Amino acid sequence: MIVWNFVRAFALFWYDFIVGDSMTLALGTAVVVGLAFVVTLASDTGLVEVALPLAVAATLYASLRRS
Amino acid sequence: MGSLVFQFLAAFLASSVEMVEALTIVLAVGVTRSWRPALTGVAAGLLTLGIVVVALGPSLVSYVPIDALRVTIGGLLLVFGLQWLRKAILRSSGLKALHDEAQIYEAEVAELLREPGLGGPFDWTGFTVAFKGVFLEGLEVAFIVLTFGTNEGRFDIPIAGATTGLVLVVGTGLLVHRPLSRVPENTIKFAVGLLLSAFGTFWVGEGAGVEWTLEDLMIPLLVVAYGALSYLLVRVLRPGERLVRPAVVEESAAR
Repeated sequence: MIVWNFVRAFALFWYDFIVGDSMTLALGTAVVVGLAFVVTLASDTGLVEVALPLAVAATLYASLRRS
Repeated sequence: MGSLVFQFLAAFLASSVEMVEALTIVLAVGVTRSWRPALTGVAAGLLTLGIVVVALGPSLVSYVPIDALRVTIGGLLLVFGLQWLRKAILRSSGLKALHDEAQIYEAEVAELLREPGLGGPFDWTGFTVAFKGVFLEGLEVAFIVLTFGTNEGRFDIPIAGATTGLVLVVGTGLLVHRPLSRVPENTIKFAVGLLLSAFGTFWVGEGAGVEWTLEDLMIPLLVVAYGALSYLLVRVLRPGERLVRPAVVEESAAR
């Protein structure tokens, strides 16, 4: 029981830390991280230098739109 | 060098804003209950935060490959920074209520006066409230110190930034002996959100194998770009001169 409570509290802490009050931001950040790997593997890094900040901006915009 | 200055600044500002919130709680405990449990709670909270940083920091640096660390830390920093930025934009545009430390203080005092346990050998209620206030508010700062320190392999700069913020806020709080309601909290949160988002983007890229053309100069460039975007978003979201009354109780819970 004590272990279960600890695991539950630990999971809730991370959920609150990462998701907070915007699931869009958490999912968008996961997409940004995936995009960084995909674009870096697929092309030279010039593209990713622009794509990465744009993806971050799109994530922020999307989360605000849903507020 | 420039990167280290930004790291100091981010840790300093984050610590300042979080400690303003912790100070409000500690002052409420000290005034309504007694200063002994309040200060013991503060010491226990700071000690626990120190243990978290010391226990996790060096072991992360030693055992986790740097690229994996950068992606993980960068991703966490990014989501964390964007959360701060999002809240700051919503508050600046009037869509979310601003913090009001004076009202939070009044609410906290009223609640503490209702709690039992006064007059005993040790006021555990006061201790717990002060401890939780310092620990929970400080946990975000500890996270920032950990991420910056782990990535650079040195903890002195972020710890110095966080400690400076702590000393400044606590010192001012002791001098004025009331909540620091005139601190431009939303502006500071804006700045921290911009810095964390910029560092997060930069490290996610580095971890994924990106060699930034401008190297470390990319960080201030990202700060400026995200700052311009945030300004635009505030302007777009602001529906005329909207007036929002501070909603204190739910704000303190939602922090």
